[in-house]
Amino acid sequence: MRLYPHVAVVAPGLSLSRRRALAAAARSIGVTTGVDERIRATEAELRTLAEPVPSRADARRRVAETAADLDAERERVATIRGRLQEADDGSLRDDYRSALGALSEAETEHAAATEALESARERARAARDDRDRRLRLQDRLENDRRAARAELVDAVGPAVRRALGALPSRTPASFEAADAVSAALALVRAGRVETPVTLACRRFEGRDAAERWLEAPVYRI
Amino acid sequence: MLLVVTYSRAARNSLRNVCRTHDGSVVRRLGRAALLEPTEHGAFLGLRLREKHPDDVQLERTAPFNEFRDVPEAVREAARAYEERSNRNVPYAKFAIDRPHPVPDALRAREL
Repeated sequence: MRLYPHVAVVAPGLSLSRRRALAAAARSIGVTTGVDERIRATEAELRTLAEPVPSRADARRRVAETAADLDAERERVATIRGRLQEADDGSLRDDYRSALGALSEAETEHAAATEALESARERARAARDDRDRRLRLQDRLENDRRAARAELVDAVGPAVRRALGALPSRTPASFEAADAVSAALALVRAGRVETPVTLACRRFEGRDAAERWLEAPVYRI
Repeated sequence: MLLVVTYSRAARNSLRNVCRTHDGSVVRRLGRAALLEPTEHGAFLGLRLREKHPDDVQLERTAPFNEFRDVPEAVREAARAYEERSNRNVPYAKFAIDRPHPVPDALRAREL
């Protein structure tokens, strides 16, 4: 939010993000806004990391696999039962018993997999509650920052317009209509910059004249 | 249908882009969530979003709701009677007492 990065090099073709630069100019002269406190609190809260959401992929795969096993075992039991009804013999009956055993095992495994998935889903839900809250906080932060910017822009507007009106050799109709160099110069004059600004424009007689007008330290190319 | 819910700004932006580009597979957009067509393409889009944002995309499959199949008549009756109540200020918990309607705790305790 410092002004300097916006106006470090003032040269033709400078690309200036005007609203942000205006807000930064206001901050540089100590303007505060009604949402600053809340912005700080929200930022602090968001600095803690979000819990990862436990992966449920393995649990889902297990449920799908055990369900397929279960279907296969059920089918096997049904087939053997059908054959038993046609011809009752001892070895078939052994097969049937072992198929029943396998079926009951498959049922147990499927039930366990389903339960494991259910509990993984519950844990994921808790992690998502947290993420849900963070998303709301991020949206609130974005809105607050916009509101702060609007306040800052309003606060610094008159000083920037005065600076534009005092520019040597140019009189832009407004900050928005001004060329980027004029706008940047007005921002430096209206705001406060302590690191020397590099000027590569022919607006001032010399470095001293530039520093006097800008009320800031200057390098001149 | 497939329900996609996003839990971060980045995931929400990805969903927005997917919905814009693949309008045909989107049934409904709901801010940070969307309902996708129950087709392989819908699943493909949902899975891509989850690959990209594993922790911030939730995928669920929805089932059509048929109150005549899924909900006991007492519950349907209770909903209708309560919305037709003459005193708008009476909460449901109070409304259900003295009437043949299930109380909130009973409703909460029974799964569909």
